Amino acid sequence: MMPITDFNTKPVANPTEQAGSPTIHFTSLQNAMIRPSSQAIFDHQSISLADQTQPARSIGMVLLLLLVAALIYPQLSRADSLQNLKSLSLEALGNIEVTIAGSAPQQADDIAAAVYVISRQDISNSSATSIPELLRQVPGLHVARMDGNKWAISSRGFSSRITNKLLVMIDGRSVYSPLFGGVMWDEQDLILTDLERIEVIRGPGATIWGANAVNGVINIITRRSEDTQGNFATTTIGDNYSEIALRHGGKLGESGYFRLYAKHRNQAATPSLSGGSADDEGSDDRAGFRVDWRSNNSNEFTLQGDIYNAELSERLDALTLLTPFSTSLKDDIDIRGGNLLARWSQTTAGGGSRSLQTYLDYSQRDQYILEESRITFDLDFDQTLPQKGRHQLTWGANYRYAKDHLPDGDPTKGEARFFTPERRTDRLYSLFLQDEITLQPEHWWLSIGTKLEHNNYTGFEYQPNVRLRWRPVQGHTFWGAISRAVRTPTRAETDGLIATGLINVGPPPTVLGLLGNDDLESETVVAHELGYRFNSSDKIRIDLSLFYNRYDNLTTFEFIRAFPLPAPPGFILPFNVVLPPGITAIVLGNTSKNLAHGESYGLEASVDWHPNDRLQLKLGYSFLEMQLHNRSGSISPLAEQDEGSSPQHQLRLDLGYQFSQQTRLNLVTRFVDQLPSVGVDSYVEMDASMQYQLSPNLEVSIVGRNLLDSQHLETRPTFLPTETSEAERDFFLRFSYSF
Amino acid sequence: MPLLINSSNQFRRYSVVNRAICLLLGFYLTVVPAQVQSEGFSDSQIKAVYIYNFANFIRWSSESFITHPGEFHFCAYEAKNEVVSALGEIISGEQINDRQLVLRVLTEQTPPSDCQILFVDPTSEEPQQLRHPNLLTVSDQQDFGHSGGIIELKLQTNRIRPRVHMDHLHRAGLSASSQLLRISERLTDNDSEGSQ
Repeated sequence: MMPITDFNTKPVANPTEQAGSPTIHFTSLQNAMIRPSSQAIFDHQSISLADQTQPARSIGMVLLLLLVAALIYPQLSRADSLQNLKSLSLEALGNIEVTIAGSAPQQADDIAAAVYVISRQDISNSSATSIPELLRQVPGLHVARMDGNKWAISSRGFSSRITNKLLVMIDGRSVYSPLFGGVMWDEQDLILTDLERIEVIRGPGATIWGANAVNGVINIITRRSEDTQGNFATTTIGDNYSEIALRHGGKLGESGYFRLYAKHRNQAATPSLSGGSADDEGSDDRAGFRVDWRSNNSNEFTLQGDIYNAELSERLDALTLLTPFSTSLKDDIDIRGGNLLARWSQTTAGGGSRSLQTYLDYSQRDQYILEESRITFDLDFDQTLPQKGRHQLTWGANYRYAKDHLPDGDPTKGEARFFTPERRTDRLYSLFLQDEITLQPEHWWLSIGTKLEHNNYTGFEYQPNVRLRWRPVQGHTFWGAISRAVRTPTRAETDGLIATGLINVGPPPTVLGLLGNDDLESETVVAHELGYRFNSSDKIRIDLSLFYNRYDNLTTFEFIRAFPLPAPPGFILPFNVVLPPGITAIVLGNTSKNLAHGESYGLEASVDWHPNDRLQLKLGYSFLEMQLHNRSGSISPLAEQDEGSSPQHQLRLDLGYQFSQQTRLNLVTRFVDQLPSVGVDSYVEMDASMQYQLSPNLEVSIVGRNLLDSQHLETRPTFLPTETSEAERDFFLRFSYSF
Repeated sequence: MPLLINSSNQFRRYSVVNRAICLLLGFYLTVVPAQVQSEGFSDSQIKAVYIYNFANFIRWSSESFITHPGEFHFCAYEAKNEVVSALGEIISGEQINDRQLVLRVLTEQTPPSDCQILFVDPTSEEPQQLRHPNLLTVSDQQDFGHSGGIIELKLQTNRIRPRVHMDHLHRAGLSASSQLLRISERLTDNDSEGSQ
C-alpha cells in the first residue's frame, strides 16, 4: 500500500526513490508454497542435531579460535576509506551503495507518529535468523519466543500468540490472519539480506492501513531487484538452526531487472520447560521472484511472488471425549502457500503520485488444532495530488475478497472444533482521504484524515486521525496525534465452536467450549500520542513517544449456558455438531462478548549515537501500564490476564564496533520485565556476533545468542494448549558469498 | 529427549568459556586503539569524492584561472556541512593539472568569484543568484537543475548519481568529459518546465 512517509501525506510518489529522499515504500509481495518433497535432507539433519552436545562444544571452540584471530586481525588491516574512494573510477563510484544511516530515518522525522525504521545496515549487523528476531530491536515491541516455530509479538500491550491488534504487511501484502487475528509467523520468512528495511509504527495506523492497525503497523519491505543483481549464496550452520539460501539477479531487456531466490531452513527442537524436548522441530522451503521495470523516470512496474512449504511439529495436550480424555501428542503441522503481486506506480508532475496494486494470496495449514485454507484477492489504488496552496490531498480505495474453508475436526480424535459456516466468503471495501496542511511553511503542519470501511462482520467502520507536527528549528520535531482505530472480530470469535479445556472427566466428560458470537462488535481504541525527535547530523538521534490509549468493547469470554451432547430430542443446539455414536459430553458454553474496557499509557525512548566512525550505540527503553476493567455482568479473567501479559519495562543496548573495514563486533544486551499473568520471570540476555569480510565477496559471521543462560522462558502458550518451551543459548556460523 | 537435557547441562558447564568470551570481548572493546576506518561509505563521503572528481572531468577555460593561476578553488557557504568537511579532507595537499586544490568557505555576502566549483548546501534558498560564468554549481538539493544549478548529486536506490543540466553547463562556459556524461543523467531546459 503506502510508504510510511505517506502517513502524513508526504507521499513520495511511488517506491521510486526521489532525489535525496529514499522513499520508504510500502508495496508488496512475497511468499509461497508447495513442495512436500524436499524434506529428506533436513530430516537427516534433525536426527544428527539430536546429539547436540558435540556441536555445541565444537562451535564454542571455533568461536574462541576465531576470536583470537579477531584480536590479531585488525592490527594488520588498515584501510583509508576516503583514499580508496578517491581512487575509484566514476563508474565504480556510481555503483557504491550508500550506507543508509541517515537517509531513511531522516524521512521518518517528517512523520507525526511513533515510527521506527530498521535499516538495511541494522539488518546486516543483526544476529537474527528470522523476521521476529529482527523486530526485537524496536523499542516498545515485545517479541517473545513461544517455541521453535511460534512467536508472541505485540506493540503497546495485549501480548499473546494471537496479538490481534498489530497489523503486519510484507511489501504491501497483509499477513494478518482473519481467522484468529494476529500473524502466523511460522508462514513468514524471506532471505533477510534481501530486505530493504522494516518500518514499524507504534500506535494506530488505521487511517491509512485500515482495521486492526490498533496498536501498531509493521511494514516489511524487500529490495528492488536492481539492487540484488548477481549471484548470492548464504548458509548458516548452528547447533539449533541451519539454513541455506541462493539468489540470482539479472537484467531483463533495456529497463528491467529480476531476481530469483530459494531458501531452506531447519530448526531443531527446543527444550520443554518440564524437561525433555518440546518436539517443536521443523523445516521449511520457499522460493520466489521479483521483477522491476522502470520506464522513463516516472513509471515503475513490479511483479513478484513466492511459494512456500513448511513441515513443523508441536507437542500439545489434546482433549478427547473418550478415555483417557486428555493425551499429550506430537502433532505435525503442514503449511503451504503462495502469492503473486503486481504493482504499478507513477510520479506525476508537481509532486503527485499514484499507484495501483493487486495481489493474490493462498495459504493452507493442516494440524491437530486447526485446518484452514484461504484465498485472498486484494486491489488497492492510492493517489497523492500535487500540492495546491497549503493543501496536499491523498486518497485511496481498497477492495479485498477472502474465501476460506475450515473443515470440522474429528471428535473421535479429540479434534473438537466446528465452524458454522464451514466455508465463508468475505468482502471488504474501504476508502480513505487525508489532507496535509502546511500551517506555516517549514514549521507547522497539520494532517487530518479518515478511513471508512465496510466489512462483513460489523458493517461500516470509521477510523479518523488528526496529527500536528512542529519543527521549531532544524533537527527538532515535536508531534502530537489523536486517532481512532478498530479491531474487527475474527472468524473464530464469530463462527467457531472450539473445545478449550476439560473441566471434569465424568462420565460424561464436562468440557469448556468457546462458541462464536455473530453479534460481536469491533474493539476500539482512541489513542492520544505525543512525541519528540532530535536528529543532529547523523551523530545522534533521539526519539521519544508518549501515549495514552482508551480501549472500549474489548472482547472477553463469558459463560452462557451448559448443554449436553448429543442433544436430547427437542433440544436445539446453537451449533450444528454431529458426534459419533457412543460419545457424550456436557459442554459449558462460553462466548466472546464486548465486555471489557480500559486504559493504557506508556512511553518509548531511543537514543542512537555514533560518536565516531567505529562505534555505534543504541539504547532503547519502553514502559507500559495497562488498566483493564470488566463491565458489569462480566466475570471473565481475560482482562486481568491481558494486563499482565506484556512487560512493563524493556531495556536494550546495541553496541556496534567496527574494528576495521573488514571486522565488526555487535553486542546486544536486552532486559525484558516479568509477565505476571503468564508466569514468566524477567530476564536479561545477551547476543554477540563477529563479522569478518574475508574478501570483497565473502563474509563470515560467528554468532552466539542468549549467552547468559543455557535456557530461559520468554512466554507461555495461552488459549491453545501447546507445550511450554524455553529459548536456548545457541551458536552459529554464517557464510555469505556474492559471485 | 534425554539428550536435550544433557545438552543443557553441557551448556552450563560450558558457560564458563562463554563468560570468558564475553569478558574478553568487553576488554578488547575498551582497549583497542582507535586507528581504523569504518566499512561503509556515507552519502556525504561519496558526494565529496564526486565533487573532487569534477575538477578532472569538467573543463574550464584558461581565463577562469587568471587571478590565481596556480590554484583550483572549491567553495561553499557552509563549513559545517558533512560534504564540505569530507571534501576538505579529500583535497588537502592535492593537485590537479599542477594547480593546488583549495577549499574556501565564503561568508554570506561574498560573491563566488574566483571559485571554480561552488557546493550549494540544501538549506540555501536562491541558487539562481549563483549563476556566474566559469562557475560549476553542485548540490544535493532536490531538482537543483530546475532551479538553475548545474549538477545535482542524486540519491537513487542507495547510490549517488550525478544529474547534469547540459544547458546550464554550457551557459556557464563549461564542458563535461564523455566519461562523466556516460554515468550521468542529462537534463536540458525542456526538462525544467516553468523554472526558467
